[in-house]
Amino acid sequence: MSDKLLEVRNLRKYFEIKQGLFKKVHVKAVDDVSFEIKRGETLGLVGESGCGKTTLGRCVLQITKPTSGEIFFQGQKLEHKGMKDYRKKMQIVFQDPYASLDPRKTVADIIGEGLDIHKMFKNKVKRRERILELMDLVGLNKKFYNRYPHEFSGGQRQRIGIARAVAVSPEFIVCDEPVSALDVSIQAQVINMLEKLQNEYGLTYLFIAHDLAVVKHISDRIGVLYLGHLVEIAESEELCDNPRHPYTQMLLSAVPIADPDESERRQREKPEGEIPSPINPPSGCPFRTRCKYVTGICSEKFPEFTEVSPGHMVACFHHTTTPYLSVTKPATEGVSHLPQNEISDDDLNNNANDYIADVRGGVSDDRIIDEGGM
Amino acid sequence: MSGNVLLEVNNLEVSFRNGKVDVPAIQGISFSLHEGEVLGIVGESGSGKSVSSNCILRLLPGTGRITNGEIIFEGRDILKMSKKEITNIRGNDISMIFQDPMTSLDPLFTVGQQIGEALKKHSSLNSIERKERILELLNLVGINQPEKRIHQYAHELSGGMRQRVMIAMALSCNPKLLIADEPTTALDVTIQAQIIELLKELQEKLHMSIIFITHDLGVVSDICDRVVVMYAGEIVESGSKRHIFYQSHHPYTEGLLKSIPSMEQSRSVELIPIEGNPPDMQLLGPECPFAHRCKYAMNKCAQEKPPITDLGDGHEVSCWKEVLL
Repeated sequence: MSDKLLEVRNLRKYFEIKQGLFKKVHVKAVDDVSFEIKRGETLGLVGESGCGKTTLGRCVLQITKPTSGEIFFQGQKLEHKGMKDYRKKMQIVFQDPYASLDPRKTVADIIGEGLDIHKMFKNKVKRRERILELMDLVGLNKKFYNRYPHEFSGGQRQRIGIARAVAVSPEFIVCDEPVSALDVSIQAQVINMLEKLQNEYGLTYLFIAHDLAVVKHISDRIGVLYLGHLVEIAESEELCDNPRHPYTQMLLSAVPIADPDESERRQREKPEGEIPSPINPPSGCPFRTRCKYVTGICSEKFPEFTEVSPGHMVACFHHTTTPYLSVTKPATEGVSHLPQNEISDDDLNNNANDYIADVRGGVSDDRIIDEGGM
Repeated sequence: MSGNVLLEVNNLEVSFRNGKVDVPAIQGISFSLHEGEVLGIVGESGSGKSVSSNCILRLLPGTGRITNGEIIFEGRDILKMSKKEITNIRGNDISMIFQDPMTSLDPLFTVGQQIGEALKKHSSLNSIERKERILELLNLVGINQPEKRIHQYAHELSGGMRQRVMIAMALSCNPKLLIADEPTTALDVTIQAQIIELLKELQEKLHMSIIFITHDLGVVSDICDRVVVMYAGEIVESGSKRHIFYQSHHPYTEGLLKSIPSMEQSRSVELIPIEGNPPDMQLLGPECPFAHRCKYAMNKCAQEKPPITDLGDGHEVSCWKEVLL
């Protein structure tokens, strides 16, 4: 478990868009993201639409060429040209099972395409055997061998997509929202299958999704993206129990809970604002426009990624003052993390406002953090 | 929930023409809705949840046909109304918001024009009063700078904002019933939470009834009072939120609840999926449509559809398990 399989360093991907005839602006889809994935681990990436999670997944596989930054796979640096050898080791499962399968190819040809490209089977009988074995592995009936994608339901198509990815015996798979297009009862089938494959073949996953509950279920660690920045990363239990970035807290409190008692009991904060346009993101910390702990420093620079507890990194100036917000636990327990038991949400809001007032009054940020004393 | 019955759907059957065959989409469903109540309709794609709500406003596409049943709204059968009468109800007494706020707003008209459309049709307000009402509505749904927004087009607004405009349009004539067809599915989770909070607030403030169609059980648990679970065009279980979530009797409801990952669960808990796929509606026979996926399936299930069993307190389930065991 311990050795690094994949390392991403300072990855950036800027897309150029033209505005008018001559003016060009950059959309910073991924901005200075670094993380690593250990062998056999699942790293989940969550974020809202437009936060750059899909671009990040594509950059990791060099399907899109990153603007800058380095990606190491098993210690080797990946280059945009010369990926062919790595394609056997790194695969991807796409979100839309309708768009990602060639409608003019049979199931066998879709699954076998990788085998053919890498010339893994010269013998046709062996190739057929391998494809049938793969179909069996992902729970597709062997009689579908010569069928076309349009004859299948969404869940079955996603199984074909997964069989295609697994065909070349990869070590690493990027799963880009593999279940979000599926119905709930089918979702669980696919999630279980991905977990089974991981256990059997020691696969490593980068699991990209917007559904926090799904990501929490499948991931060992979770990274949270906001407007191209990685704002928090931690073990999944730790991230969900002790979220330290205000954005993570907001996300967690917005997840609907399928339990009437729990959703009544939970202290729900109304999430403020909307995700700003990535064409013209706020200066400094991108989340400051929606953050209730915002102070003057937030607009000046992007906060450093700091380790708050072993393996738990967060990029926020106020991670020491943001209260622990226990979202999934009953409200009373959540409050007990605070130094004084009686602090209500209103007080916290007021405190945040006081901080803002203080900063405007010219008090240095260090003092503010001290005063928070949490 | 207190209040009188506002809407009653009795034995509704709908089928779609596919070439030369009729494919059933709804197979005899009945439910009722009280004043001030939020009713959730859950089900997977193709289970008929959207079709059943579209029937209430008679908004079926050309190939769809209501073959049986009645929909009683305030004592009158909507299915027997003349075109003029139903037009008077649409957007006035009953209004609707849709899943995709981008495609359901007209790109060629400003926000103000679109919200004003229903007012023009159903109220006697003059243009100045109408503008005031539009601004009031925009305020009500939490859109800032309404004076500016009123002149903007759909493409200038974000997804959450568009859905707010849709809600403002739907509320313009103070409807008694709001049908929300997956209103938050296309939205991000933080925006979804905002819209749900907004709908809850508005429901309380305006004391309207809501039919909330969704596939997300989390959303149901958040907003609904009562829940109807649909499968293959039939209602398999209905009851209060607590009945469905804590005392579910139908194997499908039970399976749905077990197959969604929850935030509280630890990773080691394995999801229990419902094996198999929903049935092909063209090939439905006389059996219980869930029988081939059901782990409790008995011989009886393959022969005949189960009757509805009343478990008391408004909790109904249709499963042979309840009848025979």
